[in-house]
Amino acid sequence: MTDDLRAVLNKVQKPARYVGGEYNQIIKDKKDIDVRVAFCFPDTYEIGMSNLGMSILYKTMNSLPYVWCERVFAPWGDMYREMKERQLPLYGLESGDSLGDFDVIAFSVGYEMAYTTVLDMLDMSGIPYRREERNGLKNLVVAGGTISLNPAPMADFIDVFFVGEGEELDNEFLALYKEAKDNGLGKYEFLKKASQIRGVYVPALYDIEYNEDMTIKRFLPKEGAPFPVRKRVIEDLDSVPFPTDPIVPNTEVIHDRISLELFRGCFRGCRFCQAGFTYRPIRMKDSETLRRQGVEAVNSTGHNEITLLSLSTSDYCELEKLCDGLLKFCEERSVGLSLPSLRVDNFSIDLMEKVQKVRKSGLTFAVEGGSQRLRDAINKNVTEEEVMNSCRIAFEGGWNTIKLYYMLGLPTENDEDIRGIAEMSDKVQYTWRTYTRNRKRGLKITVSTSCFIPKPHTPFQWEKQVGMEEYLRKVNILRDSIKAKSVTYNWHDAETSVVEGILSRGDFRIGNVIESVFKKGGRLEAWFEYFDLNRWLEALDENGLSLDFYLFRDRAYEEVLPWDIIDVGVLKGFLITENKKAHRNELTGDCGERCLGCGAFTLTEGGYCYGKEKAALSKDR
Amino acid sequence: MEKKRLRFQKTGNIAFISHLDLMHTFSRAFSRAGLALKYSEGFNPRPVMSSPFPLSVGQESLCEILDITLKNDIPDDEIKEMLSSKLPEGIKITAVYDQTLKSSLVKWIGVQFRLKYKKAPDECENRIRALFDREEIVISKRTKSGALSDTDIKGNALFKSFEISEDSCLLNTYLSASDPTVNPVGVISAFEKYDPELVPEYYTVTRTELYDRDLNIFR
Repeated sequence: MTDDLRAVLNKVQKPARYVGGEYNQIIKDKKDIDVRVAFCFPDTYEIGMSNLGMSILYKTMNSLPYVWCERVFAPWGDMYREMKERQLPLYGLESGDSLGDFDVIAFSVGYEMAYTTVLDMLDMSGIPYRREERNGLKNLVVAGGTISLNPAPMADFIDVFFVGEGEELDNEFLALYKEAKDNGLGKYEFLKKASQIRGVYVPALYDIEYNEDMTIKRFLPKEGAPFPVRKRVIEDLDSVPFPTDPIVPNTEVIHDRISLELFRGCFRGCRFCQAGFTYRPIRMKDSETLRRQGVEAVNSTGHNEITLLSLSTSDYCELEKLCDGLLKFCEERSVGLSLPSLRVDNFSIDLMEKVQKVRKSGLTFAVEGGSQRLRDAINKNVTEEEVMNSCRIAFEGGWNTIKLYYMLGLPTENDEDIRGIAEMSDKVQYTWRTYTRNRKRGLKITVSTSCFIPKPHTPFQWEKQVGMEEYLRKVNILRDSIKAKSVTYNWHDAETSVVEGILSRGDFRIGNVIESVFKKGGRLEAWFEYFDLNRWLEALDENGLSLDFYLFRDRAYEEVLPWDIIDVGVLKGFLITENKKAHRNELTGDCGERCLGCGAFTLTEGGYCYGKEKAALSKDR
Repeated sequence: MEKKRLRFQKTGNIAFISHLDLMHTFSRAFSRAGLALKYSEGFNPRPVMSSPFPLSVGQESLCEILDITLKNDIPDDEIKEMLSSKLPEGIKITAVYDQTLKSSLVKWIGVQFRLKYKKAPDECENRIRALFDREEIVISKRTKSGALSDTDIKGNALFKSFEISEDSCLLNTYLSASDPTVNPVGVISAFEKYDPELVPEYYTVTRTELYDRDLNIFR
């Protein structure tokens, strides 16, 4: 480390984020390495080091002997200014080498608000952020994660998008890169070859024709590039390596614990939920694999908490068996077990009693809609009776803090639905009064609302988004109708939702907007400290684009959507059916009971989906 | 219950982790090593562990101590071996032994400054000596409430030696560990106040040894 950098580190907050050197980090000898990968997370160290995907793929890429993959995070404002002032480039935490020294610069991007930070991280290292300005094979910029579900807004900057799960794809790509580097291939020649790997989208290989209204007419693939690009999935989750020796941060991060992923995909099919449609098909991990990996990970990291991850933990096929197995180990070793996304029923209360012996943290319900009609329309398969039943069980069990999450601005929503949220809180309070064991301790209900943002690849991808004024009108309706004293109401601000909306369903013209915002100083915009809506509105204006086009219009089913280039496995026809059902307030239900034929099972070679198998079994019975 | 004292070094990049983070790091390292620490009683049991002279972020040390209580009786060299491979880069255990002396007996800390100048000031050593020889060395210190207050560190900051090596000057001092605690930054503040030319472009701080009131090495 240079004295210059040391001097900077002495000035900034939490310098531990910028020095690496953690237990289990991977150090290799540069002379044995053919391909150096800078694995970038466009947010702070604390957020990035809590990301399971980063941890898995860091390990996956480093399993190749000729690859050395290092981590890079975005510096906080104070560090950013110091580095700029002294012209220090952004560097890999393992080697301290500048991003410019790396062959492949790989971004893991999980949310839209991080897009400007991608440009910033490249810029900090003196790498041109526009892909046409990068001519060589070196400094190839690739990206994966939810960014690939609609790559259009970032297609001017990223050379290669990875669509879907990376455990196999990343290393196939790196093997091809090594070969290209050995043979002295040019960038374009390499990109042509790479586009043939399943799950790889190379924006340079597609021309786009527009209609007069600037909607897309069609995509024109070149050089034999595929259309659409199909998502990659791992067929057997037990067979791919899982890092049981993840890096142990030397400083506090958001999630200081072991994460075990129970399964991918979700049975529920909530119509607003992007993850629910894009992580299909459903694939379970074996409980014995999970138990073993949990034990190994605790032993190799010294962490004192394990958390079980999935979109809906209660739907895990062997939850009881897994918990029993882990609890025994956890008790012996004073390790805590946490189970987020659990539905509240008798079984789970029992489980929670076992898991958290002393502390009773709050319970959270994602109810999403304030009336049964609306919940049916969004296919949120939860009834008021079920929520009250869960509350009763929780209150009898001694809980007295409840959080209820809703969305405002969902398609078909009317003002009655919004008032329904207040009524529901009243009923929760009544339930508490009837069933609590200790009234003196009081009840705390927190109601939170966020603004619904229609997302690509969901049945609501064609819908309008509500504007800021309309959202605030809805917030006020709710605020005025909440009477119960025990209720605290929080609402998510509407400004970021506007930007998230533009980026989520943006097209190829949004790249210029992202660039303008970056040039106006936009970075780390997922942080309210750094977010500025005006920059975005100005940038849209400068580029002759309007919110109306991106947010406030209904799209026709026939419209070619910017993300039609990506095939996540769910048929468009299925999404259309679901959309129509939403407008008829019709529930579809759970696909573990009846396979709904979404099509995602065709992504696996064996045509496998756990939901499909389970539904077939229950039909036979 | 075995009350043990670990001596360790904290050098290199890990100097930038805070005292609290270091304690967490040790706690996880003990867990990885399979060394069971005694835990405190109460709702939030924490391992009983203390490092009595917190090191400021960015400063290095060759002489830190960590006092722990182990649940089991394990030979000292075994503890050292078990733990050593489980620590992150930059933390090195140099010795493990029984806690016989109270850490409150530590009065002095040997502190080395590496002072880096674009061009070393003339008569550098003599001027630094002169500064330590002053009748009073009053520096401004920020109190917890944020206000500035003056303290005289005379008698609690002693000159030990000075040498010029390669690109920088090495200044060795004894600074009081407690009653009052003199932070190395205070010495640089004194430069600034009494002889601003002595303020280096850049400097690093390394603790070298712990001593009792008679300047005998503390174990």
